[in-house]
Amino acid sequence: MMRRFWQIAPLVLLPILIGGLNAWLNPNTPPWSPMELAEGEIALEYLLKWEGDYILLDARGAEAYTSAHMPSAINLNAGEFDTQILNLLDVWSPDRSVIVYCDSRQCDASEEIANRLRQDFQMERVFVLKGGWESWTKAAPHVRSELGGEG
Amino acid sequence: MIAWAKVLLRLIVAGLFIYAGAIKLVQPDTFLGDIESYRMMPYTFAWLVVFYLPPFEILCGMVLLLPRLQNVAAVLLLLLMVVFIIAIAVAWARGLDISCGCFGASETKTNYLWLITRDLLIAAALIFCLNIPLKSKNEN
Repeated sequence: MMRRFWQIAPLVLLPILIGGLNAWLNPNTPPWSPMELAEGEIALEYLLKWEGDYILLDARGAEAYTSAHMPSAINLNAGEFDTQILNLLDVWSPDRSVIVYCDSRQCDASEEIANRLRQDFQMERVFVLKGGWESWTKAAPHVRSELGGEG
Repeated sequence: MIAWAKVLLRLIVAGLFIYAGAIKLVQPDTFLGDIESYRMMPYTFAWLVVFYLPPFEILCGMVLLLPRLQNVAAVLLLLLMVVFIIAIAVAWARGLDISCGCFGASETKTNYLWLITRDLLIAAALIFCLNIPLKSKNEN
């Protein structure tokens, strides 16, 4: 019985040590709390206190965008990037920040678009909206109305 | 002949778990998104699983290659497969669009039947790898 315990214990306990080291050292470690913001991310509530001017980009597909989107958001998805980028360039200026969102916390589309804008267009003030479209649909009515929605 | 088949199967299954664990170990953010798509646990718990599971798979995969400890690793991995199969079946029943997360971000399309069949095959291979003495002590 004790022999079995000593055989199993390292297999069960060592991953805690290795996992802890990985969480500490890995550059891809996600934030510990969903409320914690990763680099380049902003939360919806923060938009209420945003002092500068910003452009909202909807990185979801055209169908989802047409169905519903955040107030004044422009559609820019990876599939139609080359044509839709012109809509952004029409209104963008270096003093305006760009805030990109996709479906939810699990989607990568907003991160992809944000990286492309930073790298290919040298846009420095590009942020990803934490929680994306889902955070908008779940936002408190006062947050939605203050940001131009229906409350 | 069966002994050689067992050795070969152990090598394949061990390699499979080491590979699966290594991929998830280097991409914890992607793996977290995969786990979250199952909507089975709170974020913080999913975060802990993200860092615990890959080294566990790698260690068990490596120990599966050690003749004296292979049964311990096989049983632990078998339990893990049962958990995986239940998680996939529950996601299927709930109609969720999941990314399996089993072998990193390479898997993008969800084919539940294939995922469960694959996990069942791996579980069967693990049972086959178990080194259970067939003769009782009295017979020796």
